[in-house]
Amino acid sequence: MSVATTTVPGHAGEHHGEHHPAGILRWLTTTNHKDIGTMYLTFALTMFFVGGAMILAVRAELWQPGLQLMKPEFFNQLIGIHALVMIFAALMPAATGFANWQIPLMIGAPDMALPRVNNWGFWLLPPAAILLTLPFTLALFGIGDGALATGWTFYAPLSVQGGLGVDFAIFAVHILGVSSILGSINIIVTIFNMRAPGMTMMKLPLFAWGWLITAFLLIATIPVLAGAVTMLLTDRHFGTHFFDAAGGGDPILFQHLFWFFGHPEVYILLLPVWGLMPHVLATFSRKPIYGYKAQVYGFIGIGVLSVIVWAHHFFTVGMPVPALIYFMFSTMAISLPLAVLFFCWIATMWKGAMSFETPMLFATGFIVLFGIAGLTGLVLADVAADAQYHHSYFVVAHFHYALFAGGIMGVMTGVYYWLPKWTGHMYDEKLGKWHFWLTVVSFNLTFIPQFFLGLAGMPRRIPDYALQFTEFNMISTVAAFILGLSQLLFAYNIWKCVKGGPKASDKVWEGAEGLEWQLPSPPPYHSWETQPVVK
Amino acid sequence: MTSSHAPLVKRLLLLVAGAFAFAFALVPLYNVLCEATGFNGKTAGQGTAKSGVIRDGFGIGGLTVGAAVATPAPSQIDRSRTVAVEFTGTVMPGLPWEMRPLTVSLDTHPGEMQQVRYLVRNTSSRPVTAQAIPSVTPGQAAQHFDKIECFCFSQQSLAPGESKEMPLTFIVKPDIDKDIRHITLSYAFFSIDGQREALTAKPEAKQ
Amino acid sequence: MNANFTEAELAQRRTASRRMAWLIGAVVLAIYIIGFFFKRG
Ligand code: HEM
Ligand SMILES: [Cu+2]
Repeated sequence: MSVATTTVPGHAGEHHGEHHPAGILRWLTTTNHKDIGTMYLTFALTMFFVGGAMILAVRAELWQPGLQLMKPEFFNQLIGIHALVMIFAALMPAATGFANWQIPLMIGAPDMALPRVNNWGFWLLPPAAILLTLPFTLALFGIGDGALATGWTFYAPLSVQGGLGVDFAIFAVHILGVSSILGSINIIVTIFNMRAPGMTMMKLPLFAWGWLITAFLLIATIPVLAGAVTMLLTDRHFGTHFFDAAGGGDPILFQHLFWFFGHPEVYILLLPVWGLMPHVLATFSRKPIYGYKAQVYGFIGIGVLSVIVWAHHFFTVGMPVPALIYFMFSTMAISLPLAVLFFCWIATMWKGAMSFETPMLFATGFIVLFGIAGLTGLVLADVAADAQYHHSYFVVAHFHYALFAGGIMGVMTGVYYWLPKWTGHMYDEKLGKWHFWLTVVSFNLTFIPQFFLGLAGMPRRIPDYALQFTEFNMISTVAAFILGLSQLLFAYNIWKCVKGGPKASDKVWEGAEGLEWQLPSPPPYHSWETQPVVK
Repeated sequence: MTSSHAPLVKRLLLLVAGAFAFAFALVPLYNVLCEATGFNGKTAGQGTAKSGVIRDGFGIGGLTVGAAVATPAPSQIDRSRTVAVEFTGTVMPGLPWEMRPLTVSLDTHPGEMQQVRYLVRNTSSRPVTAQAIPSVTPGQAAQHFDKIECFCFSQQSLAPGESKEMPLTFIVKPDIDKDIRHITLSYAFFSIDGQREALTAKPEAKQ
Repeated sequence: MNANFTEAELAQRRTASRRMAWLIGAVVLAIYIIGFFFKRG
């Protein structure tokens, strides 16, 4: 509950332009939260296309049964690197970019608490991304045996036996982990110590609350992942036997360690989105957020529950029945606080004077599609059913409803919502609407067939399949290419908006509430020189 | 300005260190849990019968104390039911051996002593030492599968080209759950190259 | 796009959104009920 000083020393008035170096050096050395936010978001968008290109190659291979375009080893590399890139280099940096831009604006702080740490947090990312993709790129030119081919989950003993690509991925994960932890510490310190006078924790914007829980989850679980891959590394090179049955170790232990991180990770990815959703829904319904407190407690509840349910990712390894039952019910219990959030989102819209600008389209699309993710998750959480669906395309469809429709579309909601604030220009609304409709339609056409494929028994992570699966795979492949190409509209729209466009007002949206809308669009280089007072 | 944040930053860093240590603490924790409950198919050795603890993974917390349950004498043979036991084995990468069970499957009564053999051959032109690791499926059966004598109790060495019949004597204990009618015993043979010291607890290797 | 609506327009949007909500609710309920009449072949 500490309140930072009202005036911030060390800044020479309004003319900051001269103080920072120009060109590339400015970006290398910047400690400004907006610059860093912009870099995170740019990096995320770039890697989104890198990861997307990889998976389109996979979809092309899955167009027909048989092996057409690539060897199975290459296919295996593509799926693993795709997932790691999308999760660690696209979705997480995008959320961190939002945090950097928005949290100081929303809580009335001049910048992030630890600006230099912030700079480091970002600049660790590009080397990590290079480490992750380098063996893969080299193999394209015939050098080495490629990236890790274990899928993003690194399961032992496959990952103990794998080639050099596994080591590259391990180091990439270490660096990405350090970056996430630096980012998390920074966000927690900013939220705890730098809120505007009068902004109690229960007046904190929900976006900041969502990120606060994400940051704590990252601090609690990323070190466990780092520990697990460190054990993997020592097993591979230094003669330990953590996961080696011959030496008394146990490969199943790896799954426990990985998913102890891995399940909370899915909520880490989504909490920032759940945080921003109520702001958007309230703005375009022209109503206050419904159930603020319920949502805060919902976030906390989900955060706590998320660390005690991990084993639902490997129900089939042969756990005893009491353990199965425990993990089944605890997993299902997460849908209760999640249902509270859904209820609050819908209640926020109830009887609102709604209008459907692009951010609102994405927000409502998010609610429907993310609902499907939650419901199919409940199906998978059923131990008896999961025996059938585990490692099938049903799981793939489930988590793409969660991570693409929930995560990526949530990020797009935020981008359209805040871009006018950041750039001072309106984006092209018509293009935005096209982007939305192409995205939802092609997304569903890509992944609904995968539910059916999974129910019919098509296993995931296999480059070939039985003949009867052909039609659904063809639909999925065509739709995936439309989905991928539609994202070019998104990139173009952002580019256009950064370059120019109709002037955005300070408030941007008629129904917008919150401190960030009191600043000019775009906000000055140093946001709140004088902290606002919240009543 | 940064100094005012230092106490909180320190506390958060402590949290990070704690979480990292926790990952390593999970290793022994996991082994203790598995040993106590048989969660992961680690089979009962000679030691367990004496300890008076039945590790079937079903009691509260996976532990039931022997005195609380009327355990039939091990010698008692339950002829009212039969259990099919299947044998299989794999040679792990890096070990130039071949192995196959000479008995692929047999029917036994709980409490009855049985002996089977595996045929193992060194296909390389150098002497090799290896260790077999057993695993029983379903996991609930693991703690009731008693190996009296097993080639997996110690490391095995084979001369170049040598083949050997390796014996296994076992009893499926009568207190095994009535619903289990089918058990699979699988061995994975690992090469022991150099001084591979086990880092974690390894009840099997000691026996 | 960033229109400032008049009070009459806002009121009209409020009724429209309420009607839409009931409609969607009714459709969902209908799908739920119709589901009971589907039997597996
Ligand atoms: C009520 C909510 C949810 C439930 C009950 C649930 C349940 C499950 C279960 C049981 C599995 C394992 C399926 C299997 O491998 O057999 C699974 C997989 C997965 N879920 Fe969920 N889930 C829920 C929400 C989410 C959310 C919100 C996300 C992401 C943000 C998510 C992402 C994933 C991912 C990525 C996987 C697959 C991981 C892999 O094997 O590669 N789920 N889910
Ligand atoms: Cu999970």
